[in-house]
Amino acid sequence: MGTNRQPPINYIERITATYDALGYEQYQWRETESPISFAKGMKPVSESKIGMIATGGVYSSGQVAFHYRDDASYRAISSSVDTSELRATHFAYDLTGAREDINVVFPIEAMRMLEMEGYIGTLADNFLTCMGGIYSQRSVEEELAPKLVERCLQEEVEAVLLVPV
Amino acid sequence: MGLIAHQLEKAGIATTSISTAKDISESVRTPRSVFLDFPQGYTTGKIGDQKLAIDIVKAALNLIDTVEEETLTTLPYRWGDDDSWKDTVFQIPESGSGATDNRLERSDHPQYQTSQDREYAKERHGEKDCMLCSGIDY
Repeated sequence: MGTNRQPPINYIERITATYDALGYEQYQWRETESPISFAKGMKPVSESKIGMIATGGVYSSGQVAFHYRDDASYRAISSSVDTSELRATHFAYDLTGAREDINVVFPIEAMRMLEMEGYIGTLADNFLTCMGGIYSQRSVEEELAPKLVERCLQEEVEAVLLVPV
Repeated sequence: MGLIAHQLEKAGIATTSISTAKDISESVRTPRSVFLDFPQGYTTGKIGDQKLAIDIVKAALNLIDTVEEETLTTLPYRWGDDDSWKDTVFQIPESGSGATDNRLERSDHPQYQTSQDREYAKERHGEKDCMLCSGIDY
């Protein structure tokens, strides 16, 4: 029998308190206020090309790994890559799970299964990965995000699954 | 991820995301999200549990077919029989002292999982870090 559930963790409160206790400068959490955009006229997922962007620091053996200081680059990983070639490297989360089974932060096998089942129309040729944990929102807004958008347009994806860590 | 989602949507590409941090998703306002109450580092489930990963991914993708307004749906899955894993996440003693930073040191150098990966990357991208392609294989 399970015990009563605790509410979701309030990360912003806990991280703010931890940084405060450590004497760090406070991170400016982003609060989006204006109305947010929604892509219009979407086809069903079963008829669409679907991409994936994951922030867990995943790379494929042979690629240059991410570094740990505001890395705003991305990697393109073939959606048909051999899963055993995938690696994870990150400064901010416990990599135990990801290194044992990359699917816990980069669900590539689930995506392939869903394409086989016909739930997804087709997968993008490449999935994209980045590091996350970039402190400069400007760097994300003006550098990383536009690069990812451009690549998604090149890949001609109609919808993207986002997998933050 | 909110910033990335917003730019993709503006470019006509629909997004859906999986989050293990509900408050952060609410703050950045990702357009469509499912919330999974699991520890950081397990965004799409548990080691070796492909069925769970498929169910989670499906739940996220389903939002693209079913909603056209800001949505954050909580998934029913639970990490364990109790929620004790939450007790140690970014927790500091009542006194306010003794807080620790478990994150790794920042570095500008690529951080490989294995030394062999470093050799492979050198073979493919040269002795120096390839600044031109940032290691991206097109």
